[in-house]
Amino acid sequence: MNKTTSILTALALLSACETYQPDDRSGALWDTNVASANDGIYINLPFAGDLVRVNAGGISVVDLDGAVPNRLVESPDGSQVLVFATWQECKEDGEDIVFPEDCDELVDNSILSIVSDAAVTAEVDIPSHLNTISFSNDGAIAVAYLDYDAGGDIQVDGFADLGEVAFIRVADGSKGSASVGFSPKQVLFSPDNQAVVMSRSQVVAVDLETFERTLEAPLTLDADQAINPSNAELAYDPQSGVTNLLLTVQGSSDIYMLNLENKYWNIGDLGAVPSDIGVDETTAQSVFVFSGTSKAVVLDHSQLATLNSSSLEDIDLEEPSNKALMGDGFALLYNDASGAVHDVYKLELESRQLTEYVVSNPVQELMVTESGRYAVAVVRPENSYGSDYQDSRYGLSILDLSSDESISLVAQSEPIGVALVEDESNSYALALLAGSDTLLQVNLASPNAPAEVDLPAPPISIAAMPDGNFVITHNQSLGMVSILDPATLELQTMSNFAVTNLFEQKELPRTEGNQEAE
Amino acid sequence: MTTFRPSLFPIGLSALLMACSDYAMKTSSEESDGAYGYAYGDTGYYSAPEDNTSDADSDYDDGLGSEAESDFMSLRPATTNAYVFVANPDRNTVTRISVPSLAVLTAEVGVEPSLVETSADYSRAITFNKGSNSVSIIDADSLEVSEVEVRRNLNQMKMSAQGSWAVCYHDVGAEGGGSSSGGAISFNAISIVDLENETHFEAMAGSYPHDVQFTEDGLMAVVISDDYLSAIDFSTGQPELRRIAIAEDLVNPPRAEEVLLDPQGRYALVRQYGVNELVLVNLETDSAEAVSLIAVGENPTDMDVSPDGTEAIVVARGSKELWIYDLSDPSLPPSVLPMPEEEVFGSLILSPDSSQGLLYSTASQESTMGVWSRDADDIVVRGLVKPVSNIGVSPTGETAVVFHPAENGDTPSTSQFYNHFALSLVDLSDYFTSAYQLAAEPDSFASTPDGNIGFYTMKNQPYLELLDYRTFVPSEVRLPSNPVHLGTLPETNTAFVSQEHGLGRISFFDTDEAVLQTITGFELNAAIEQ
Repeated sequence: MNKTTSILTALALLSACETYQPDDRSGALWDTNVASANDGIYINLPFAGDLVRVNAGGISVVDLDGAVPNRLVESPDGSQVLVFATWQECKEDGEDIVFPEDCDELVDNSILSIVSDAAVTAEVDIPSHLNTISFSNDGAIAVAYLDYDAGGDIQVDGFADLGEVAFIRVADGSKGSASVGFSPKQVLFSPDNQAVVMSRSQVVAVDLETFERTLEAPLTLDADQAINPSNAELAYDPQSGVTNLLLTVQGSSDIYMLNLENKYWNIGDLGAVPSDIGVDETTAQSVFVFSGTSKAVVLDHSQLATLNSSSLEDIDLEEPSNKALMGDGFALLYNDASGAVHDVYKLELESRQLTEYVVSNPVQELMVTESGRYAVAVVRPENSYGSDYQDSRYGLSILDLSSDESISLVAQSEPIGVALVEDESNSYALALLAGSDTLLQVNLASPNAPAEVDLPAPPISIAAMPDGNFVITHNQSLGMVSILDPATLELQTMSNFAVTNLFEQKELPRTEGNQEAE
Repeated sequence: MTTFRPSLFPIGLSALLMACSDYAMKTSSEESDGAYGYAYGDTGYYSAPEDNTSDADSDYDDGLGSEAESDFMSLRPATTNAYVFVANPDRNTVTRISVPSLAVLTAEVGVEPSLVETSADYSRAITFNKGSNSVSIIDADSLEVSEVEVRRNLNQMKMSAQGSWAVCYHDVGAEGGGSSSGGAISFNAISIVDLENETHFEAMAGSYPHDVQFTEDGLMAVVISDDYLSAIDFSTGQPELRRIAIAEDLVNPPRAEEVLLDPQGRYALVRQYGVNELVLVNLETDSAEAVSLIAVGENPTDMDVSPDGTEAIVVARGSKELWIYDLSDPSLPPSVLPMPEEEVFGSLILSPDSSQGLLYSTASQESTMGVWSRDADDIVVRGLVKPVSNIGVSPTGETAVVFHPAENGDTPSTSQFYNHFALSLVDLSDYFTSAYQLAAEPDSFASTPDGNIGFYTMKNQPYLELLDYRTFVPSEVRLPSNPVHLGTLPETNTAFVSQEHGLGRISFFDTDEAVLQTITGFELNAAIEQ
């Protein structure tokens, strides 16, 4: 949403009203990063400092007890929304202190509110710097940690353990925490109910029942050496029933493998510094790709305890791939970093059959349908192009994965959101283009005549909802979201929710009187 | 329960060579390593060539120095039928690798474990910890570790086959001097460790001990020095040490190059450098007659025991004779077999079935080898592509593996092998010989127990080289990094190669599967906290 427009709109509205306190709020009226839950769409209203739920029944304001939402994350099953929020506390005493502006000694308190059916079911105190959240396989545990790569300002209240990881039971909000060392990078969840946290120079496992550390496995024996994990995946070996952690580290061709059952390391050499890992449970193999080397390496999970000559197999590629997108029994290898690579490879992991697809322009994003029948690449303009029309434009490339056919479509503008959907007989791409009030439904089997759906306003994003529908956000300063039924292409649009509580003057929350009342 | 052959056989050799069929190469240039050792059929201790022994009490010196024989390098992994134990001196740990699952577990031991040994029944491993002056006793199955302190300034350790006793001593020729923190430093004080009761005893052996041998039942050990044999009696449960002088000149004695200890502990036979007699030490008497001299030819340079343990055979390089002693009574007159007059042979290796012996010299720089048919008692001289640095025999006795140095000796400059290390395989049934030029100096050699495949590694070459004793066709398997130690696992056709890697690396090659499996980073496991 256009920020200037939002602010002007708010000021215009405010000017019509009598204000008795100076209002220094600024920014967008609503955050288009919405959370889609089973009961509706949760939307953060930063200007009003409120959280609302929007559904067919209307708009509901979620009472966060005076806390201001910052970021929303829906649980994997859509039953709850986790709300990172802060509430302001005045450290001064005085009956005349009512509004934040009245207090000279304000303190921000960070909380995580668990919301369901537009009500807070639990609230957890949580350090303000925890900026990343992961969910356990069953969605019951949320793990919050600080990821330096996540961007944004890191806010610390007093002293903070930046290596702290918070574990929250979503059902009741009970919380535990563990210190996992410096700079946690990634959290994985093993089948035996352990959270495996990668951090600088070590891997830590935490039991999700007790939140106790069960394992601390260093990556080096030299305390002066910093080994930073770059990527990690869990690999299950059906032969032995053992789950191994596969870990790559920055600037190294080593692949660290930690047997999580017997707790021992083995280290292999991939021959180059890998840029991505893909794990295929069907064939119990993993694929590594390398941004600087024209090869892929396939790792057989059954040979991890003792690497042998057949454990790691090099697959030669014509061009380097830096990303691996996994399907059921195959990997799609592509490059989204290089402006010179147009190749997408399908690698059948059982047979090692390699199919090369050449797309029109460099790949920006690649998706695969759930059935594995098609892959869709969003392609971007060439870094340098002459008079070639297609080279200078965005587009979609559709790869028929049952053959070596691919079709490239030129887009009128940049695709700002693409989602894939399938029914029993067809596969579709739903595409939103920048500046266009139309959603295109592209039948991937016959992509040349897409169906068009008129949108009430230019779109910003499209995302899948837990119920199979899609939520589309629109560039409307007062708020607009649409729910798309992919089967009927019918739209249900809700708008103007961003003005909710727009002019409400927030008092300081959770004052002594309020707490006593609670 | 381990059973022992009733015949005479050198201790250590039986445990290591016969069980593992592997050994490392040692040449005269490697004296600094100090782990002088054993060769197949060779008796206990063997020294490096001595070029500075002019002041020694020697009767004869032909100027060629001692013959060099192979040995086991220090810090090599120790094996049982179920585990390989690898000492990690930088991490103060021992890693146990299970066979055949190759599961890895690590146990903390004392500081800087520099030696690891396993008992013959595979139930126990021990480490000598140079940094903490201690011995760690490890239960092979549970990996429970107990530690017994020993004297300072020791650097070597030997354990009885039963795993009941260990003797630690200071070998001045060995690499690393042990730790000491000032005060008076003794070079002949030893530590005796009762491994069952975890008790430490101290004693004084002869000057500069350089080897320890145990009797078959483990109830006696002899500590070998140039001036004294120190016999330790363990039969009472308390070690009792008795020193027996073996040299007339105790100030500047000739070097005791090889010692043969009767497995029953009745006597020891000592070959001294440059001395034309053998020293027979009767360990059953305490009288002055305990030591006697028995005749041998001029300049004896090698003393071997026949595989059946009934004979000791001494190569008298100076008089070009083989002296054969009946080990049931070494004082009986030996039989003497002349060797070819025109050849210089100073070393002998016998085939496992004792039917043949290979005669060669590492000192003469001559490209010949003698094949001694023991039935016919004749010696056939065979030409080789280069002089000999070492010879091994396949476990079946059918193939000789001859290693050649880079030095050329009498090798013509037109030879393909000139200035190169080389290896020859000799079929001992018809003497068909095949020679191979090598990229670097071979440093370890081993064979599978079934006798079909030989292995060797070369310095700074990341390959496991394979020798097919049936076809003589060589092959190689690339290793992830440069090899350090090579061996075979007992009762398997699996070779293991420990390699250079900061976090520990060992590879296993099963000749039946022809697959190289590698474990890397196992030293990290010691730091895993659960």
